Amino acid sequence: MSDLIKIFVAAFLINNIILMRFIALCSYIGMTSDVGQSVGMGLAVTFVTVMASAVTWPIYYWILKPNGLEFLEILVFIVVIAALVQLVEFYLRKSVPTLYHAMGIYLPLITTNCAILAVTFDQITSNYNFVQSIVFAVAVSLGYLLAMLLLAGVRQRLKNSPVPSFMLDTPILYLTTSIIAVAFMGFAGLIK
Amino acid sequence: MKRWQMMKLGLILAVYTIVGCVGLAVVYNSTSKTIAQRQEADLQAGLHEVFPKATGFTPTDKVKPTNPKVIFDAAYMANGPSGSLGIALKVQGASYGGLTTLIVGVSTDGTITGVKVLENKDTPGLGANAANPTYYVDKATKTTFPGQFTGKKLTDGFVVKKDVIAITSATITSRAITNLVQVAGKAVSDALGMGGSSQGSNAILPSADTVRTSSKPVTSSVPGVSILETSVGTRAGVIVGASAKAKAKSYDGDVTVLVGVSTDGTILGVQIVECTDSLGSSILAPAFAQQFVGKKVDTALEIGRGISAVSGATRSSTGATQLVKATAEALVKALAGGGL
Amino acid sequence: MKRLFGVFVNGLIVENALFVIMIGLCSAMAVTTTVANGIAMGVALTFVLVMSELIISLFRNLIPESIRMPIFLIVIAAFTTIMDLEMRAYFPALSKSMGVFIPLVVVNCIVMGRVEAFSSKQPVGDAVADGLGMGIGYTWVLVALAVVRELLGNGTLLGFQIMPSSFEPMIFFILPPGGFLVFALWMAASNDLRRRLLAGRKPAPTQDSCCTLPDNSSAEKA
Repeated sequence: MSDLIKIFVAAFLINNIILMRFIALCSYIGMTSDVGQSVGMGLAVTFVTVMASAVTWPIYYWILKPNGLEFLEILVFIVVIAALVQLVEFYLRKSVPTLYHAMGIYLPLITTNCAILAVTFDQITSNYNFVQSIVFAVAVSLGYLLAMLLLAGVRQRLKNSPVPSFMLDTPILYLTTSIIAVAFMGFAGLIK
Repeated sequence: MKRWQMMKLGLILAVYTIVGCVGLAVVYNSTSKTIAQRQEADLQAGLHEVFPKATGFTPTDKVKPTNPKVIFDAAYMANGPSGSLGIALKVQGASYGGLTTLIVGVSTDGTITGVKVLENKDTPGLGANAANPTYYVDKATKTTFPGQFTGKKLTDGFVVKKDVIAITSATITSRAITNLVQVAGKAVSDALGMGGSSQGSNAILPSADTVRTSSKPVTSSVPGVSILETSVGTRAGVIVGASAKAKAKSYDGDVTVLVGVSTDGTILGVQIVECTDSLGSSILAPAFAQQFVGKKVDTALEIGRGISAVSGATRSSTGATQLVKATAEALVKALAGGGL
Repeated sequence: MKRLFGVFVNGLIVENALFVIMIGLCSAMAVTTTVANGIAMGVALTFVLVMSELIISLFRNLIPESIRMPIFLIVIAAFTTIMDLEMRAYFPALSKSMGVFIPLVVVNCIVMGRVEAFSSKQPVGDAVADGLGMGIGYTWVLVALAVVRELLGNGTLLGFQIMPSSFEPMIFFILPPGGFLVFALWMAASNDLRRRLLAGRKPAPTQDSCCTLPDNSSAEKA
């Protein structure tokens, strides 16, 4: 149990996927102009990441590895994730239209969201078992959601703040991110 | 018509997939040999680095895993011109940014002959300096972080920032690697037949001239503490004290201790035999156990009151202290009860 | 020839992936702790980009519109794997130090974006020129970032000690916050320059399809 908590805290805060590992930056900048949008994207990523992990882990350990096909990892994972996103989109549109309206519009962006693929690769390189992989996936995507929310919140205030003209637009967002990241460095001491 | 269209698309997709996979298989076949050769060469270079005088290495299965958090990859007997020089062990364990792989060499006299960091995924410029051959923790003598372990005895202290110089701003990495070196080193020295437990009873019952197994098992009233074996120390036929090996759960692993107590309730000796907590093995340092010696069992034996924790391993220190106290109390009770 | 050169320069500067379109940022900040890593990542991405663009452009008439996305993914993933395997075989140290960012080239928006927007519609020569331009454009930004970070954060360049020994390395620049800061400042400089060059004309914002929601609802991407 303490193992799982450690994995969770490390993936959620200490090695926050956006602020500490620079993964999924473009959606971080692109989807945080509005708090609602950032939450929608965050939840969609969480949903797909967990599903993708639940699918890629068995594929790797039950199909690829026993047959010595580890070198197909990248190809298989990306195709599986793409297919999965399509299926989810299809299913949501048909069966759960309310959820589709809340989350569906983000799904097309998710295939090329590096967070999901990074999570599935990390699970393999870290030798996680199935339960650990799922906990890791949840923690990473919640960390993603947290970082998105933080920046979206700051952006609300930035709209009304006097920003030096040369820092306008994206540079000020990265400067803000740098400061948020400094704060996140403090979490490093959480696990000894 | 539509069905035909679907099949055609599926077929096209299949062709692309098959061509892609076959192409990859070809590339994989040609590179996998190179990758394997390179890994083998890295391993050989690493082995020679920790045992520069060795003429060859033969795989051995003498080293037994002691800690579930440390993966023992492979062990190699280092062959010298006249017999074995020692054992090099390849181990993997968690560090800051993922698994770290080390080769630890231990000579037959229990000295670390060298440590080589084969793989480390920690922060570049910080933790990753552990594997950097030009990063010196001691610039004056040009000692690298793994280099400082060379020549260290396994009985020496392994406390980071005290006995071991840490990498700047990478305490977690420094502790993780130090812990790995110590766990690996201890396992090798056990395999080489320098284990401490047989002679341990003498060391922790210095006033006794003979030590025998007790005729009655001792149990502790503290829940969770299991006393594995008990010995009685006698001097000229009179019982002077008793010792016990006990085990209990600690932070996230187990801790095992040897405790010796005299008949008047004084702790004669303590040895922390094993601690499987993550990063907990720094409490194996003799300095920690030494704090107990000479203390009365009925006085305060707590972290912060009489006993100070090993920094970075407070939870493990607490666990070990509680175990020592419980064991000592059980021994005093058993000695008072007689019939050992 | 002149046209090809135009295509090349376009990726190099005018539509620089990192500073102007702002895609493919993840690896740009993650691996630029040392110049060597920056160059290696740049070369790796350029290889995947050029090869994918070349193949897609060659077969562009044999790729049915409705299943183009899966085919692009397969082609890109195949070249990423090849690059990953070659790196592991011949540059194991670099491959290790870049870790997960090598396989992540497969979802790098630059590759997918250029394949989708450019090479699936253009002749082979243009596609290769575009791949080279975009790839080298990406590489020089990486090197620019890495030079600042390695010099200030470690006192070295390409591993050679540059700063005097009295210089105490500012580790901040190697840490993640430093990466964000250096990128913010470089980007501010680049934006400022562009604003001056365009003299008041606001540059048309380049819409990329993999990071932001498209304005129109006709998003048929997967």
